[in-house]
Amino acid sequence: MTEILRYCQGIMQRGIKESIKTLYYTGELKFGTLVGVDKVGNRYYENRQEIYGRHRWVEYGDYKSNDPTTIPPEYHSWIHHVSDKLPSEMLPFSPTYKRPHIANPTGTDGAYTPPNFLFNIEKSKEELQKEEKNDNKQ
Amino acid sequence: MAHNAQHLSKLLASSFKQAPPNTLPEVVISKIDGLVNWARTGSLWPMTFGLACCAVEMMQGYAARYDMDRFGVIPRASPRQSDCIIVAGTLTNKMAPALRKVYDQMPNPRYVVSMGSCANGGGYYHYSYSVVRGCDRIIPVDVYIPGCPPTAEAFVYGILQLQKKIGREQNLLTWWRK
Repeated sequence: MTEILRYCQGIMQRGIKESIKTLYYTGELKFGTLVGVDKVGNRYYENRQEIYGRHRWVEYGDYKSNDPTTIPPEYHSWIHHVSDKLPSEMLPFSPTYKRPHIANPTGTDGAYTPPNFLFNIEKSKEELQKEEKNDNKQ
Repeated sequence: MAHNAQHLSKLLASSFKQAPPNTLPEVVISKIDGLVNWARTGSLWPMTFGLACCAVEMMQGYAARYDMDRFGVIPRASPRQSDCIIVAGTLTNKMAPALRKVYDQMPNPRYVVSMGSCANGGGYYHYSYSVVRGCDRIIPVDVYIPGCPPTAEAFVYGILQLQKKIGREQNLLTWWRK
């Protein structure tokens, strides 16, 4: 019975189309207060009525490739229960060495390859050839 | 083919991108590819190759809290029935031939997940006289999970990465193009 109530409330919150989408991609239909939205479009929810440990969750902006590494550091501590503070409540902390957060690049062209990786060796060779050509022109 | 001949390394580096289908039969075949990939990712049965403390984290991943069963990951005791092998723990010289044998007994397609820093590259026991410096010296590895030991969360993430990797495959399309 409570399950049906939960689902009804979840549908009430999202609308039918959106709730079918979430049910398909996450396999669950939760409802709660929208706590915040980050740059990538991930939405963060909280519902204290849920079982402890399941009361905070994220719904990814990119439904199809849901990757937890897209969660920026501001929300990371909140969603992992490291702290109860949301980024709006935290003191601003932006040191000079801070770079913009990126998701895990594994499986994309942005993935790290060691300098002795064959591709990188060939690339450096090509760059050297280009430089030599430019030098000859000058 | 001469005009677009590329160095092998470049092909390797750009292999993350899916080749887009051009003609109608290619579109149909890539759809079938998608179906095959969906079926493979939906029931990824791992051969559990627990060697050390990483295996405990792996067991926790299968247990109630992280529940890998919901991704269709059911540990099998036989290599003949499994799709992927999870090497969890230190691979010693004594165990290496056994690992190779188990891997050879698995039916195609087979995937390998290397779990923990010991399986990745020897880890803490890198300089030991009796330890293989990474299980990729014995078998080809698809996904490396770092950590000593990796948490159950990391294990789940690694399996999801493997599922993504399988999802990018285009076996039928490459066969058709050949």
